[in-house]
Amino acid sequence: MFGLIVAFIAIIGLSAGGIAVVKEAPKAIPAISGAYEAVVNGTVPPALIVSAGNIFDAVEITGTHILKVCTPEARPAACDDTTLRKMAAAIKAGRPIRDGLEQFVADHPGKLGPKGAYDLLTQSISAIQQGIDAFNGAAS
Amino acid sequence: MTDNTSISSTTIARSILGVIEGLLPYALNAINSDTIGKIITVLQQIWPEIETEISDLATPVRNIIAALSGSAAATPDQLAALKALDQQTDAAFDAALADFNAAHPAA
Repeated sequence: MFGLIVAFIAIIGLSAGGIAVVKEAPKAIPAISGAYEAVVNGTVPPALIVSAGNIFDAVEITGTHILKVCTPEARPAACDDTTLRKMAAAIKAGRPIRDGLEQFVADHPGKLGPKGAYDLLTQSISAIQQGIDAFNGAAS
Repeated sequence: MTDNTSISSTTIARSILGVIEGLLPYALNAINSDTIGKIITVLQQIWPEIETEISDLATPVRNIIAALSGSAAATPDQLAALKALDQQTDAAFDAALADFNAAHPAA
């Protein structure tokens, strides 16, 4: 758990304008070059598409856990059917976007991907995350 | 009876996912390798908790580290790992949703 706290402090450091809590970044990490230009031009580096796909899967895994917790008859009070069904719908809606982006990366090796689809995927991730947050907020 | 262990795990998962999700905008706006390096360092710092507390999330986080550590071009290996994870994740979710819907039919 200590590591989590350290991680959050690091994130706060990043979001506060780059105050580097983590002082030593690995030297050998190549840059995702041209990311700034990619945003301006409406494209996204493939590494970020792959990362977003993995994040989508991560929130889907968490959603699966919540559904399992909420399935038995004697379930926690935090289980709200409306919220859970919205979360499930967001997962279903996000899958084809994820799949399409991954297929684009596979079909166009090394090319920048469409930011519009990437934005849709991150919106799906946020929608799923809202369901997870609602569950955890009610459970805490 | 409430499954406190599962709730605890999802709470931890939420925390870690919050970290990961929060990383994306920084990655997208990254203009130098230092920022990417910091992101990866954060992920590596929370790695022990991920591995021990919520092992299901280990694979996607490992994949994210691999993707961001490499060049801008995603490798075929990364894509293959992601597609395998997609199928596994979708199947598990579909099964859980089917069970949920069976136990709690929509009104």
